Amino acid sequence: MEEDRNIIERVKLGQTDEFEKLMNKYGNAIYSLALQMTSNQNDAEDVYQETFQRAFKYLDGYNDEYSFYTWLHKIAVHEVFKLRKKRYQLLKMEVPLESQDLESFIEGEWEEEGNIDSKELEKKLKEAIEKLSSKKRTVFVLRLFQGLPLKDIAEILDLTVDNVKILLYRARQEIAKELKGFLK
Amino acid sequence: MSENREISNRCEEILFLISQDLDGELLPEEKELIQNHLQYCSACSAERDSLLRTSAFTRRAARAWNRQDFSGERKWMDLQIMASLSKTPPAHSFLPFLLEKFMPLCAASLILIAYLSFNFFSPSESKSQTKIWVKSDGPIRLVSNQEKKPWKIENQPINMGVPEGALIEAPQRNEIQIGNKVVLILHKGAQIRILKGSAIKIEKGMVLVKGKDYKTTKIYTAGGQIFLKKSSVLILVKKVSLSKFGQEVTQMTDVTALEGEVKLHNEHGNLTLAQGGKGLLNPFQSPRINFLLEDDSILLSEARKRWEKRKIRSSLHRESDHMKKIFENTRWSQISFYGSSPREFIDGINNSLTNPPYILLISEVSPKPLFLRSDTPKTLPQILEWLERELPLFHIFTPELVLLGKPEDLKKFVKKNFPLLLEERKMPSLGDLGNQKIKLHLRDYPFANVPALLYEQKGIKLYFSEEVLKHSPSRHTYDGLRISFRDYLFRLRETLGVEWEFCPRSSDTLFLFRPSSHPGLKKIKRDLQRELEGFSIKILGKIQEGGRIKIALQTRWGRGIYSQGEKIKKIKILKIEDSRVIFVYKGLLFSYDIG
Repeated sequence: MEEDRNIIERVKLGQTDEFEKLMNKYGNAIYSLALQMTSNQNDAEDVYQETFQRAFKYLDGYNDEYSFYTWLHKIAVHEVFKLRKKRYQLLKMEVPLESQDLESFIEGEWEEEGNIDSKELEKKLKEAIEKLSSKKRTVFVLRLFQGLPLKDIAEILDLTVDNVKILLYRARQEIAKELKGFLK
Repeated sequence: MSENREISNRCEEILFLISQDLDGELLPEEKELIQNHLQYCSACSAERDSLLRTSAFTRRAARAWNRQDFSGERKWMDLQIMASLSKTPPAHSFLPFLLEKFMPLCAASLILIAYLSFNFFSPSESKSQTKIWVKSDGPIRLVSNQEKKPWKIENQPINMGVPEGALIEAPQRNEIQIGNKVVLILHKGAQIRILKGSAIKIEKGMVLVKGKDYKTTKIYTAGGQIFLKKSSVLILVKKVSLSKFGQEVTQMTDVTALEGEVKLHNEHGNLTLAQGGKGLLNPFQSPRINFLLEDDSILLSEARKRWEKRKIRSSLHRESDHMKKIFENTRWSQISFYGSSPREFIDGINNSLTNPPYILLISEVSPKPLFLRSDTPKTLPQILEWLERELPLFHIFTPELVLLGKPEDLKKFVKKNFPLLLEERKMPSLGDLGNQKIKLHLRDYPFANVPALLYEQKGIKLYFSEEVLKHSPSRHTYDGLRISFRDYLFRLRETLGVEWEFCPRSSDTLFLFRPSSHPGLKKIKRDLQRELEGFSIKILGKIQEGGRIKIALQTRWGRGIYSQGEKIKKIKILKIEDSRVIFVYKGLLFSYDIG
């Protein structure tokens, strides 16, 4: 946190290159989030780029009460929402091009572990996440995959912590329902 | 009733607490509350188990996911972001800081920018708004003068971002040389324009292109363009690599000759592109024209055979002699699916249109034309005559054009390219292509499921280029099988008797649809019917709901409750009676007793 603050100060003073350090530090998490939220590599790339460009542009508006990590997540989530809104009509008609990204990745991981039976399960999990409503999906991914505390998720989505808890509970229930019969 | 509700609300509260417990958000007394409740509520116990199992599995998946390193994918984007940062500084001014800390570098940069602005563009066509971002880890040497000596960016590790809307222009009789260790990044909308007599040489440098298409790299894919005007030259010297997202791409550079002839060179050979022509440059092969066929190609002989047939049929055609002459002197071109997308197909057709005369090879999938307007002729001879009148450069051998792709893409394509001829898309026989599953495959790996479908339904034989199969994914799921596309094709041949062949040469490119005698078609139908008879549908029960009967079904896609008229994928529930259910699938009726 302190280190981030120093870097940010230096960037604000004009040492633009310092920003690369922040990208190196948080890039993986943001890209991973974008990929999970969009299920599409092209969109994930757009979200990733927009996130860092915006973060740089509005660095002055960053409130260091919150971690930079959370702030970046907030921007990324907003970018995803913006993209979804823009592409809503299109998404209604299309199956995302790289929607297999998550699936194939998880498949690969499990395969290495020698768990062949889980193939169907991973697919189900991916489908279940994609079926969640936008907010539930965001909460679920931020909590379970990005490991953010509930308080930060609430800040990102402009919700109360209780609201986040409810969304998370509903998301868990829906996912569990989808996976019921597969998980033993 | 109210008691039930109370219990249900209580359970809801407990489950909510369990969810919070998973986040470690509970107080000991709340945990105790859960335990007490679970002792007597078996429903909640089961729900809790389900939540725990899901949570454990999700955590495992998340761990696996988070172990993944995306630095490869990010490398290129990070470069771009850093490039763009110089255009959008944060609100604070950093000039004083720069002046204080980096006075010499600042001065050098200013000189460089001034130098670039002054030298890169000829005074007559000065683009004052153009800025070039240059990031350098060492001294940059940009050599130029007005006496036919090239602009050189060489042998220094530099990244040059050409921002959106910018233009690098080589003045007449001059050239841009991009040397070793140089990364030239073309942002969306950026252009490199090479004027008459000029050249762009990329020697061991890299051109980074931000594009959406992963399969073939085109310099202009994402809006960055290299225009070559008359007598221009684009040279890719050995070891040039077109890179994207940190991975080397060595497939193709796509070049379009907008004006006059364009010469393409590399150490393997030279090629002249006619105006409007499109060429492919590969660092490891001679440059070649897109869609050009070799003389002894099987596609060509096929086309010739058809021409002979057609010639007899149209012997009364008023222009037949003229056409014959054209035919004999013509160079042949094939409309092919390079990249297998409708976009590519459009490009192919456009290319043919600008380089007449060519033959458009069209498949014989159906005896009737698919695209017709109400005012166009209906019979085959009428259609052929009409087509030749409307499109004199096209020789239509069969009345049907088969396009594979997303319906919305096809609609646009048809609207743009055949406003006179085509109005709507009706492909009932290929209706399965509208299926989402197929769409997914079509978009990703375009023809994954098509071979079987076409063969089953139409008896069409397919030709595949081995080169294409090389690009097919090594691990993918086709119809539930995790195998490569190539293996999938072999499997189709072995198990279903689907007929297909490799094209003898990769230059024959991808797909030619041709009717086969389909000896195996009957067998396939039999197999299909047998499969359908098994059908893998299990009726789990009957439910009476508001005077309507619903059935609970277990299908291969999962369980569900359905009512009459509903569809499960392609299976329609035609009728639910007291003792039986009737399904329709692929035009066949299946009756199942309700046990």
